[in-house]
Amino acid sequence: MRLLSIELCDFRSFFGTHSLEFAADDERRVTIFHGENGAGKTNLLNAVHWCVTGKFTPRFQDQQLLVNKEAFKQGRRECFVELVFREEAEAGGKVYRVRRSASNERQTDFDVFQVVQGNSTVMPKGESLLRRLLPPGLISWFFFDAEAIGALELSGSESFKQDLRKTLGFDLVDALLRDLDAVQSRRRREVAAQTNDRDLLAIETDIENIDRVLPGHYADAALLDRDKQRLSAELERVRTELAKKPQAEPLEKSRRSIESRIVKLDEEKKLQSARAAQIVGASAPALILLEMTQQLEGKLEEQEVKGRLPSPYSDQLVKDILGEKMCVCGRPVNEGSPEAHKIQDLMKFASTGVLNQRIGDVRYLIRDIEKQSRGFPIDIQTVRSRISEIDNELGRLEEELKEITRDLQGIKMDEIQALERQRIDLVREYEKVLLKAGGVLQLIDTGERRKKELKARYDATAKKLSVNARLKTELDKTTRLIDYIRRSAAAQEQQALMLLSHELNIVLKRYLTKDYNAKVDAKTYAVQLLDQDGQKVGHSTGEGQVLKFAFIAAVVAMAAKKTQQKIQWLSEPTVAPLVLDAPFSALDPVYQGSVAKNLAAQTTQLVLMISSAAWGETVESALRSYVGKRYLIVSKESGPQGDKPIKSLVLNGKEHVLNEYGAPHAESVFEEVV
Amino acid sequence: MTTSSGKKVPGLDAFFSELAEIGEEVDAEKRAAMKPTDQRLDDVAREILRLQRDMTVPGSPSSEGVRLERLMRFIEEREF
Repeated sequence: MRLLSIELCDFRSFFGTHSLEFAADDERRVTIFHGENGAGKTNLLNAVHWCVTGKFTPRFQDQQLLVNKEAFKQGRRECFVELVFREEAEAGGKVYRVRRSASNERQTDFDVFQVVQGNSTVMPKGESLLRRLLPPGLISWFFFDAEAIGALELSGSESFKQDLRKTLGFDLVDALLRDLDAVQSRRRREVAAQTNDRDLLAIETDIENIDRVLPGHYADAALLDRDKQRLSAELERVRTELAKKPQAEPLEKSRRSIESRIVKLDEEKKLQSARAAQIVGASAPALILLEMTQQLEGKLEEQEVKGRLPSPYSDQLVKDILGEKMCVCGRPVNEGSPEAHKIQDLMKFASTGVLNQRIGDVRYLIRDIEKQSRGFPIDIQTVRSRISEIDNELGRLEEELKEITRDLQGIKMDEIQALERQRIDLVREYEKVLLKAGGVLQLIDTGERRKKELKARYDATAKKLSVNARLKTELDKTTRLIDYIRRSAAAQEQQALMLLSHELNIVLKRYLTKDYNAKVDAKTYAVQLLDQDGQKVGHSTGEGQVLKFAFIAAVVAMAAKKTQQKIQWLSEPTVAPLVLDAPFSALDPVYQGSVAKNLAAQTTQLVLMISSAAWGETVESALRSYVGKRYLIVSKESGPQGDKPIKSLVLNGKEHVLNEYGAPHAESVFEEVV
Repeated sequence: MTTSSGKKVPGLDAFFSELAEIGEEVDAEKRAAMKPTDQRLDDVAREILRLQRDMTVPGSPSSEGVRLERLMRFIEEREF
């Protein structure tokens, strides 16, 4: 979908009616809103967000005060936002108008219209249509408060994975597979009913019971996952607030540094424990065999001392004596004589090349087992002492964390104490959710495993019965089709993730000064930034922030390009404009220009709300060729200017004022820059 | 960057065009290498996905019962 226009009436800082158009061409696809802090950029982002979803971005404050204050004073009790957008041409290119209105207490109206040649017709299931075009779970990917980019989790949570799958269009295949599983279940029930076999009926009932509860568990897991994300974002916000207080800043900084050390140590501990298991696994056979080999070696040595192993004569000597019929002592050895028989017997113990080789091999094996056994105590001791060092350090760091908490609580400032209390409560809540989520995942795992076992038992039992040929065929066809679709979808998924990795790496290579790589985990979808030595780079670093922007842009771009590739396997992926509030404020200035260019290049439509602090020549030149519409959000204050500054922005050599004083009432107004 | 058809496309578009072409070529090759029975299964799978899409179109999605009935009938009617 592409945004064509927006109309705001008495919404938050916007008094009266304001109509704006967005740049929606393929070439000129970027719309920019310039405004200072507090001018209304976040209000505008939330106007779009709310109109489409009925909800606001997580950091949007005073959500119950939607009606503009001045309008309210004048007796107006409702505000509305109306968006006009167009479906992508591939999806039909239809034009829709969405209008949502509300008082400060509640939403009062919501309608979706289809617009044909200027005439609007109400869509009976408008909400469902909108959800289809832009699934609620994906809104946060497309309408984005970029100041909160730090909270964007790329660590591969289940909800992150599901959202990404939806954006890339896998939801149709997922839905089909769910329905086909239900079809398969019906067929199995029919077979069980036809055979009237007690075992088969019991197994099928068990499968159905699991099928009945599993969706609930999955839904719980998704909810808990969202809770985790919400709490994590909230925790991040509280901690950022805390770090802004000069008295708390050094303590909060130390806490972050200790926590980051704990994460690293935990990772190292996992690696060392795995190494210990590997050493034990590799050395266990040697340790068990050691006693046996020691006995064997004792025997070998005993035989050596007795001169029996290897024998003091070779097989060749015996052959020569028998062939020449003459002993080494000069006596004759006639064929068939008792001497000849005795000498022939010596052949059994004569040393041969093969026997010598075997004895050599046994000795080598004994040495190897001894070497491995000798190395075991040293290797395992090294690893164990490292684990013990890690444990000690972890214990010390945990103590330091407690100390910091005590110090923070000891600061005699209500605000800091309140934030710290909030932080502690959030951590507790987060841990509770984590525990619950673990329990639910365990239930899912057990359920899925049990279902798999039951299905195998069902197949084995059904084989022994005389099942109606038609039913058997239908069940078999359904099973084969499910397997094929599942395999093909998995292959498509791998291809999509490979493309995503590839795309991310192109961006990183182009824009980062360092030689970093991005890796997408095929199982969890977690995105990891790695340095040239393959070491993980934190997502909170400057490069990590670039990765997050690159990731969002890559996902949005991939979704858009997929429709052009006409991949029949996937449903139409979500193609929507990327609307970003304060996109560059969280970024290192070195990367601002390159990120801006990347975003513009990769999206089908881009709407940016930027403050003058994050606007400079690099961003301007990066976006110049893409910008189709540009507005100023001018902040008008009713009071006198006093000592307050007038802020301005120079665009194309012309100075534009961004705030005014002495206005009849406080409001934000839009001015188009032509 | 130049695509295999000799068309010049700048920047990222070139990358995606190239990928699209490679993807199509790989798909065509894969299909040609398939056994006739697998090709049939592939056709049926694509067809049933379109059916599912039709049944879940925005504005008039079918109920679960209707969807399952139609999917069952679809599978019954196809030989594979």
